[in-house]
Amino acid sequence: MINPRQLFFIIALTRISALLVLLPVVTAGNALQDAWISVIVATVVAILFVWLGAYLAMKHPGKSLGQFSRDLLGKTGGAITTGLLAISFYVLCLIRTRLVSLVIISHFMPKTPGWALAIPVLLTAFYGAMMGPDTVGRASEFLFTVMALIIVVSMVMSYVWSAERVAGLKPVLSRGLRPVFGAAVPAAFLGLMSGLRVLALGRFTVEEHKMPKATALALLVSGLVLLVVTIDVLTTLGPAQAQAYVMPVLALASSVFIEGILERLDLVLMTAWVLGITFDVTVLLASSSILIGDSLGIGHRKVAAALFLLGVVPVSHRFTDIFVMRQLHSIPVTGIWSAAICVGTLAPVFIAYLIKKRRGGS
Amino acid sequence: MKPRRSFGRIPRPIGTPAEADDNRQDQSELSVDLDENLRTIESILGNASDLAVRRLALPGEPQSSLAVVYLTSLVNTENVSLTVIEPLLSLSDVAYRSAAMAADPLESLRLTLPTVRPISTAGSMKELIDSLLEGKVVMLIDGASGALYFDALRPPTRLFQLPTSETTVIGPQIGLTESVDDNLALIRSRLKHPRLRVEQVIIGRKSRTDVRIIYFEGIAPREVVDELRRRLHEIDIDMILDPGVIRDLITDRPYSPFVMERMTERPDTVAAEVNLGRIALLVEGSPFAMLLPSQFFTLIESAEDYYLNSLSASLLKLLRAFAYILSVLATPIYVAVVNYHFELVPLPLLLNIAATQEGVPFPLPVAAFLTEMVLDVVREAGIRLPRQFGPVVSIFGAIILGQSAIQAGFVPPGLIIVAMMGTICSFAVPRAEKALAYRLVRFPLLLLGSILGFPGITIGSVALVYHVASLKSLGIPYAVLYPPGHTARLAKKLVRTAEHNQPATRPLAPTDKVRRGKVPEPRDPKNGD
Repeated sequence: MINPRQLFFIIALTRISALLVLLPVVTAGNALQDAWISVIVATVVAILFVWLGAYLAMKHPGKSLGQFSRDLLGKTGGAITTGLLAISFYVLCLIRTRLVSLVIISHFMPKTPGWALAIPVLLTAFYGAMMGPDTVGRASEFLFTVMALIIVVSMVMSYVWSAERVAGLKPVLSRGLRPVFGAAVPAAFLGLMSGLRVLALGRFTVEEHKMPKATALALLVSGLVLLVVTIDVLTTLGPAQAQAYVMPVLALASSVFIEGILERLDLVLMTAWVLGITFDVTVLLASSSILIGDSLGIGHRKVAAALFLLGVVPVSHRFTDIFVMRQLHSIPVTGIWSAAICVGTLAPVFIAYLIKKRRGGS
Repeated sequence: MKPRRSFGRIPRPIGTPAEADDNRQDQSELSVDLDENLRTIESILGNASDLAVRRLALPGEPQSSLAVVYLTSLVNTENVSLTVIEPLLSLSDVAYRSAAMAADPLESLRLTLPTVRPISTAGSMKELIDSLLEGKVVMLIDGASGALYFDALRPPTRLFQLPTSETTVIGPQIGLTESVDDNLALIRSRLKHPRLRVEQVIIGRKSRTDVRIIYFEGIAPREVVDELRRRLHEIDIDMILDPGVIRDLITDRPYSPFVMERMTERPDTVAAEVNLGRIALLVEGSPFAMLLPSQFFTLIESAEDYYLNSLSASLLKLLRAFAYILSVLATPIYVAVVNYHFELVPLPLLLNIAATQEGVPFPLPVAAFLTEMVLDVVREAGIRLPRQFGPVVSIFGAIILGQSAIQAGFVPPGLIIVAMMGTICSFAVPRAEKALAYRLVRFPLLLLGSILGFPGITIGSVALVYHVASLKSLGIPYAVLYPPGHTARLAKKLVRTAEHNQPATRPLAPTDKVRRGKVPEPRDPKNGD
């Protein structure tokens, strides 16, 4: 079993890992210097939707979405709503596995084949998923602490906070609200996908009444970290350069040179990111296998094994264009995806729950 | 639910002559005929040369006799005379006669004998033989279908000595010995409390080893004690010589390189850990106690931490943690940096490293593997050799071999420096058996660092974290960084806070809040404020 504190670590760590490298580019690309406002908007929106999910999980202790959606919507309805979220988790799991290998190859190890990095990541994720949610919960305590330390040190080394630099963020909302809200869509989507893991992990969480608070707090804390990172990128590189780089955080870190001690801070940051993204992939694989397993009445370890075998080929294929990954995080793709999750999973289950509650069901 | 595996159950052929004999012996009752009983004992023990039988004629009518039986190799014969024969001879005729006429002569004699030693009754031949083999003195009476045995004597043992595997500069300098009773006395003298529980379990079909479970009732979690008791009772094995054997039989994950039970030969450590809610196992014949359930952070704890002031102890703990991380990661990181991420290194140092790499016949990863293996061999040889030779081999092995290898151009000097540093760091970890096992993990990390650089080491480290997080010791998670309800405990694992600031609750018994009482308030003796 996992406790609410571990749930907090899991969600915060996966959200920071997923967004650390992607967020500045996807937000700066649309909102330019107002990208930091997009981060705030995205965090608020993600908290609202994820709170709904956490509320549902809290009201169905000891059950995952796969189980309580069947109770609320029947076998077919439950399978569809759960399947949508489970497949989303699984697809994200594969995308991120591929992404981590691409980032490493493009930035650090150009001669290494992609599969040589992708398969170990997926294998580690599979091992973590097989060990079960309580192992993932305990591991999150270690990994969150390590990653938080690395990020704090990296940020301190890369940036000396000053009023003049923050002033460089002006003018605020000069291009209106539309680009800000547009840029918030991918960020909100990624937050949503981190937070909604509570629908799978809630089954294994003790003190279920603390779940909504832990989930919302995780999104809030990770939102603050990402806000600092985005402001750091915008004020150091500037909005134009931030959107030009594929991975602006790494570009920012690589500009740091500490004479005689460290020549490439980006490598340290990349290490933290690999650590976090491997954990993120683990939680995605575990969550999708829990949801599918519960929906079909199969043990989640068997499902995890099947998903792992199924994923080996997609993550290992020859992949040369890193910009395709960027397209997957564009506003239209993430917007449609978010809408599908909200309309296809959250809304029907929540409405069914309200109807059942009104009728006096438990 | 997945069925539990059987702990140490060894399949035995049923119906072998030895097994059949054992079964017959188990079943057989003692005869009323003294001679027949003695013949049976001699037969079962194969006319053992150290079997001593002393027959005494009982006074009064009708004339009968008794026999005192023991194994001379296990008992001190002078003590037999003092504690058994003399009390017997001191009994008056009246006492013997009344014992002989009683409904239960054995019980009557047991109550009459003037000795302070506890006397037990054996009803079967198996019980009698077991008692003999445990070093007890058995008394058989003609006409009685039972026997008395005295827990009077014990095998000779060595004197208390320094705990050689856990030396400290300050604090008690006494170690456990091979005698379970002596060890128990050392622990009891430190925990004079009625709730200290000591349970006995006999394990081993042939060794019949005396194992003691020691814990604090009300502090050690009851379900953990029950689980340990169950696992110990389920062990079916021929021989137990050390707690290490028990560890392999009761551990949750026998194939994990991480040792989840803590071994100590210090009675003060046992007392301190039992007071925290852990359970200690003492095994007859071993100077080590096993403490369980153990946790990951005990790796950096030393007995000295209890006796140093909090600041020094904290610094040492942090140093040990750093030393452990370095001992595992130093060589993999060096290989990854030189092979893949040389831009991390400042240019002058990089040029030096590149120059030393010239002419080395092996690729760096291969040289790293060979160096690490040779260092482990040198260390193992140093430990196994007699004390007079051990340091010599270590010094010659490390200095001369290393120097020659560099001069011959077999390995680059940078690698030797890093590998040696890792080895020395491993000695800073107080738990020798754990440090050695944990250092095993550096080989897979070295492999990943050689193939995939930093990302490989990171991915391997995450897998390692999963493995450690999945471990449990007697059902208690082995590695929990933030136990529920104790936010500040992480800091207290890494540092040792002052005594007045120690957590009130014990890690394994959060409901028990009497770990520390009132702490005296410091006052200036001159003006009293």
